Amino acid sequence: MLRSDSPSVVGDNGVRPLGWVTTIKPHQRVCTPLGSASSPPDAIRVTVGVAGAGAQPLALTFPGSSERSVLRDYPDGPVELRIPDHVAAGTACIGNRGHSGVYIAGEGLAGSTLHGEEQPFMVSYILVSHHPPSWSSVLGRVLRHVGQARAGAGGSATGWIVLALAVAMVATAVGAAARWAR
Amino acid sequence: MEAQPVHPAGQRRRRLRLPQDPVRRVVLAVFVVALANGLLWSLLTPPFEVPDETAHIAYAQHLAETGRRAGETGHPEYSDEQAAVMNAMAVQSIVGHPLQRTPPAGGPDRSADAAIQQATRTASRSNGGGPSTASSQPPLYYALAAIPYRMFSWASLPVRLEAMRVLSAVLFALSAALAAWLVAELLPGRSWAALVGGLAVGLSPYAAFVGSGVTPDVLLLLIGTATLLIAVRAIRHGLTTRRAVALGLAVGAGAMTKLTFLPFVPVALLVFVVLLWRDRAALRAERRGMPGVIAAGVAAGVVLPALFVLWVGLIGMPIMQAGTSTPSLSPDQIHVSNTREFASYTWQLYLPRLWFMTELFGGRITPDIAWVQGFAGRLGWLDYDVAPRVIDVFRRVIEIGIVLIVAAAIQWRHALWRNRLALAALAAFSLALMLVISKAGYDFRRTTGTAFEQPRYLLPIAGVWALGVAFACLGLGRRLAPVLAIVVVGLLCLHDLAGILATLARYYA
Repeated sequence: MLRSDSPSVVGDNGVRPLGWVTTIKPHQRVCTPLGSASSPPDAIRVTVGVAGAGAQPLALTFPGSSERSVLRDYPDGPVELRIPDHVAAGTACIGNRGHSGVYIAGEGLAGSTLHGEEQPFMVSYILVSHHPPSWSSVLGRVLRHVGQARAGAGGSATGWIVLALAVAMVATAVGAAARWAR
Repeated sequence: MEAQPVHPAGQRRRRLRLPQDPVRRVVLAVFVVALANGLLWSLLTPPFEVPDETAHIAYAQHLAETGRRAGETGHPEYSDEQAAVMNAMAVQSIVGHPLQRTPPAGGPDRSADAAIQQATRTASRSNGGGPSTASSQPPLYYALAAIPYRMFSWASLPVRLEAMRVLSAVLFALSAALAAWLVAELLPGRSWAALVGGLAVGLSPYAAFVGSGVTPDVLLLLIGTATLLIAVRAIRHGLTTRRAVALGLAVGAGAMTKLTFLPFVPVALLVFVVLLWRDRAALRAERRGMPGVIAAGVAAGVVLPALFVLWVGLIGMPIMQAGTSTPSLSPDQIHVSNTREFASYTWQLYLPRLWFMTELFGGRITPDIAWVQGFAGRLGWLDYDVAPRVIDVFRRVIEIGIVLIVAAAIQWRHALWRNRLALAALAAFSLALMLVISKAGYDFRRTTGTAFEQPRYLLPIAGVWALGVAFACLGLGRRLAPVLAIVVVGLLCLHDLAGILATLARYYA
């Protein structure tokens, strides 16, 4: 949105893809909380590896919902699993419908479940949107956010002060260049 | 005769009159721009999100509250108040987690505010000061930061933190102004050169981000730039008692700010000795004579370290204080240091690897990774960057700049030769610092397996960067150089704005 390297990242579940945390075996399903997003996500980005065995079909499902999406062809690394329409929150499960295991990345924090049992790891979910909000629609909210939770060292005007200082800085620099760069 | 009425306003107008000297005007303009930028970044970056700011705040708070330096064994690193505030602001969950934002509006922000206010009223401020990544460092920056801290001791910790950041922003702006002055000294009669050189420091998003945080790196930036300027002025205009004292004070202050400054000390001493020899005739004619100049310079150099030794003696603390460090690899994983490998490491850290050199540490040591990408804008606790295309453009501009510097060096070779002593001094300061960084980096990687180098370690030679940017403009020739300077100022503004946008996206979007 404001950075071109993450134009569509709108949220995450607070877990980084630091390393492989488990292997999803054939017919296994690992479930993990989705986390929060600033706008409705279209897909979940997870980091997977197949160790040369070829892509195994991965199904994204949501407990209590019959909606699902399946990803069949993908390389090792970050891949996107499409979130079916009308599903936006709660827990998302990734099931392996192939014949060999798939590594998946996350952190060693308890949070994911396998067959309903909590595991000592948590799979990293990055929530992406292919239709992220525009600059103009979020700028006001972003600037209001700048000074929040600072107990007197900020406020809702802090972002606007930052903007004013940026304008003053650029104007002074350009004015000085026009004055002296001759 | 009637007495003339007094006009206080008129007097004030006279007092605020702008300097007539063009160099002073440019230096003032650079100071104003850099101050706006520093204040902007001090407000933009969330509290505790500058590298190691948690440890620096703990040090400053402990010194302000107890009059003692940090690193006291048996104490926790953070006071109860700081720990509670960091917890309320979810600092540990944001640092290193580039997708985590600061507490948003609509509940979490009010809860955080309430928890911070509660900590301000009830939590201890003086029970921290234990060993940390900062506690082995000298105390000068923290002693200065304690002044705004004490001025706002009635307020919440984020307010005191912002007060300390404002001090840092002023130090940052002074650094940019001194960098402009240094350029004016070596490229006289070209106002545009001083302007573009000073703004290359003052508008750098990386320098502004670091320089507006609670960190001794900003004081080191100022003192490093001041040392270069004083040395160059002494070389160009002759050594005097005042310049000897200024050089001594700068060196003493740098040594009391951060250990990274120590490589500057022998180079400054060498410059001092060379100038004493070169200017011996003029110094003998001075009122105090050569012994007086030597005594004044040396006394100025040792006054702050002597005060420091006296202070730690009075409070019963050691001169070298304990710190914390990154866990070491197991002994069987640490490979033995050797001079040849260190030489190769040093080369590869600053220059492209040559065909006969072994790729060290998995190829993770390149000037591009260590410095170009870093100065382009590796921000936060190294957990986010400016957009990749900004880094690409920055890289291309650096490459073009190097070509222009070579072209300028050929065109202006006679002027360079005339200034050979000043340029040799700048090169010696730079090489000494770079060598010490590579030695520390080599040992750190060998023993911990992790990277050490961060662009901020080169901030003391920011004046050389300023000079390089201004000199590169001359590569287009005398007539086009000012035009290129305008373009460069525009690019510097855009670069800074890219850093600001990346920061908005990182913490608040």
